[in-house]
Amino acid sequence: MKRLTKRVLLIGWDAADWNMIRPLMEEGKMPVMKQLVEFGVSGNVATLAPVLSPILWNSIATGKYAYKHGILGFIEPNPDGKGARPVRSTTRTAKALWNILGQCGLRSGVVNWYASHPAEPIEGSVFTNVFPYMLGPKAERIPLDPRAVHPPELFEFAQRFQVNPATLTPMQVMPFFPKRPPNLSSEKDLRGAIMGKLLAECVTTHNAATYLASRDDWDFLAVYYETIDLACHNFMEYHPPAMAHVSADDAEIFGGVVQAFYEFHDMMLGRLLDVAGPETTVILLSDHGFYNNHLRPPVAEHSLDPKEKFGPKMNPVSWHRRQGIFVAAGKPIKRDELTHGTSLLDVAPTILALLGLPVPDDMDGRVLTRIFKEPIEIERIDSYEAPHPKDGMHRGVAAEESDPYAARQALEQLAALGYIELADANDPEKEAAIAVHERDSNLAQVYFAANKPAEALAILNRMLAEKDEPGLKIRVALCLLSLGRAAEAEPIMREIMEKHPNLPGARLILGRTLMAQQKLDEAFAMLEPLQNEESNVPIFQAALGLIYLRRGLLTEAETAFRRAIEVDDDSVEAHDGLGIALRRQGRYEDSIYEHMRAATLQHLRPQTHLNLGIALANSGQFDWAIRAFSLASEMAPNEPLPHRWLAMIYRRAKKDMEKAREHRHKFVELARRRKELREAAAPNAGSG
Amino acid sequence: MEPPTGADCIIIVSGLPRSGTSLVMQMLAAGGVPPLTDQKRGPDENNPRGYFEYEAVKQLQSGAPWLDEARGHAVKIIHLLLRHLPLSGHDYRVILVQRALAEVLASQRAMLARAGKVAAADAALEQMFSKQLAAAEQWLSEHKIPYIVVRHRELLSESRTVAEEIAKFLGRDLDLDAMCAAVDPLLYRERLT
Repeated sequence: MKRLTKRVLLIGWDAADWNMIRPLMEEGKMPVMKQLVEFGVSGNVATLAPVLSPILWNSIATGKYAYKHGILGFIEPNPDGKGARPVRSTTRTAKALWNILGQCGLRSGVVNWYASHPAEPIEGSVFTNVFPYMLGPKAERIPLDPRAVHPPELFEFAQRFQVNPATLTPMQVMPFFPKRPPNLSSEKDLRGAIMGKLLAECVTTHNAATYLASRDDWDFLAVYYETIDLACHNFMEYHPPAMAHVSADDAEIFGGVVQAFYEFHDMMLGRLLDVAGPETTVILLSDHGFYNNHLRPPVAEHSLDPKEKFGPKMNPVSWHRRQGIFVAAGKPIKRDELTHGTSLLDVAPTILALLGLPVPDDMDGRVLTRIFKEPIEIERIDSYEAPHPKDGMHRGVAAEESDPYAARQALEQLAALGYIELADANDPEKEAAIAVHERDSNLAQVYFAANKPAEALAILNRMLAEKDEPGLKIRVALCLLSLGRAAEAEPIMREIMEKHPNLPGARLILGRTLMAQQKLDEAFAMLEPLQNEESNVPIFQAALGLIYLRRGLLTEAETAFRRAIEVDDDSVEAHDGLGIALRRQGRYEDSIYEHMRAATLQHLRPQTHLNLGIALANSGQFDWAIRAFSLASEMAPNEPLPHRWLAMIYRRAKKDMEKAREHRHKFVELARRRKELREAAAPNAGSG
Repeated sequence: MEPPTGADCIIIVSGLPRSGTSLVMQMLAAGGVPPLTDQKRGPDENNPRGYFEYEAVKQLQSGAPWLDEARGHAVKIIHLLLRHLPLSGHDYRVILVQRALAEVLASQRAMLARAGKVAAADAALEQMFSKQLAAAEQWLSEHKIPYIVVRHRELLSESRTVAEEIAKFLGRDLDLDAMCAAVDPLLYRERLT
């Protein structure tokens, strides 16, 4: 494979969102970003589930779902049984780009990447994600862990990059409060201090990044800036128009913080691009977006205590928009074009292709071939995962370090057997238990989102055996629905509705289980009241639209989907549903547009490609329809329907009887297998 | 050949829980090595002849002032706690008991079930326990602590040979007949076919 660029600079801006960036570019307040967009390709990037940064940034770096890379949350149990700790690089079970490049003879730099601590001994340099932190929980100075830097000889020099928040001057802080500054020394109101801490940590990251970028000894540099996400979590409620609970005073003081951080990132981007040089191909992306408008989640009770923002009253993930940003620019990349359908998983294989390396089949993403000026040939290999002396993976670490979850299980079992005692205090125990629970919950979500509901179901059932939680039961019902076992999901949802009538979404999911069993009247009775509720959750309207579709009420369906889109134009379910409603009215071109819109918002959604294929086939665009059905079948290999359509197109339109037979055979086989699975899974299977 | 154990030597019986460590403690006690035990954990359905445990061992990682009492005795310490033994001031001889992991896990599962508890998934535990055992052996080798590996199956099928090996390893004149008499094959319940 031909190498297409001298080097690649991968920049991560956690939570960056076009809804913030586009207006700022238009106002001339993010000139570097504007130039980068004009010089390259840009568009949305669809996030993955669950929308949690450690999981997502490791999917970006490995090109793999989290069930392969093993980073499944923010924390993990301490292997010694005492509480929990931030998730570590020793837990990652797949090679990141920098490991792969090392074994291919290339050099990398890594700055602040999630779960990069302790530094891996890679071919190149690492500043881990503990490097930016100088202060402990009580604002005390903490010494830099030597494992935060690789190679070790860089350690002394590296410390000069660290910025202590206490040393920031008013001149440096004031631009973040353009209208009126807060009391920065207040011990009661910590918001000013938080801003200073974010700024210092951001600058520390940037110092390390520009240092590495300015050296001429790298092929790949990955820099992760967390600050936009943290600034948004702390200050987005004040962003104009301030949310209803925000006082006029607070709105004036803190209303400019988020925008100022975006502008600051633009300045940092300019500097980084300058030192990286014109021969560098740049990929800049976020892992998800961040609601900045009417879709900001309600804040039940506003508090000055920053801990509350991440406490039970606030679900931080509910702020995350499913669309992040993606920009690629450099000599081999097209100029000033929009790109669609990008997934976080596509970044790693695309970087391998840019650097002229084979793309492994065990990566879940695809090379973004459409962003290149010239067509490229992609060489493929099975995998890079076999150990290699230059991959820079941690080797020889204790078993407990490489799998802290299994270590925790082993400890718990030994304690249950009465052979050891776990930590003496109660809190650390609780912390470790939470880490394990979160890991299992996230893993189930990853499997579910990766079209592996059976694997998700097994985990959820195990969790339910330990603790009976309504939230887990709802997720079990969703898995059963995905597996075509709606009859089993229904009693679960009825019980939930009875015991917890106000649980969000329960009515919706019960409605879906009824729909799946063709109990359309009951489903309609369940979901119809949602039409009158003042809800800004588009998924309710989209579900209602599906009911109307099933009942053949196409105009009503169209109205419901359009209402959902009015609230949130990013609703994949609504665009896809609208596409179906329009197709059934014979409006094929409009239908194709809506399905395309859904596919650009979330590429990895097989049913969208299936629906798009049907609309294309109906409009006589058979070649495109074949592509859509093939994609759907690639994403959901056990789904029979795409093959049924492909068989029909090859037989009737293409007159290719061999291919028609091949797909007909696949359809019959998959449909038979699905039926058998359903029968085997039925609760009374095998009895009597 | 290890040097003979002096009166001050601490004999440690180690391994995974349910691998036969209690059985070896019984054999040693019968053979003439007094066990260090506080009898806090009495015999039960899982170990009808008792556990031969010393409660303070569980806090080994926080310190082990009781080690002085252990001189000249046999003490049971599970594999995971070995690495917390202080390296200076004591002379150890370790008898590492090993049993097929599937049998160990089945036995642990049965023991937990009798207590109304649920065992963790075998797959994760099997891998972790096997790595921990390897790490324990490596730790013993690295720190030049004399140890012998005794296999559970051989304890039952070739008690005499194993008793002789233990006596030889400890450099002591043990009552081999009594050691063999301590072995009750009927207690070998969770066996692989």
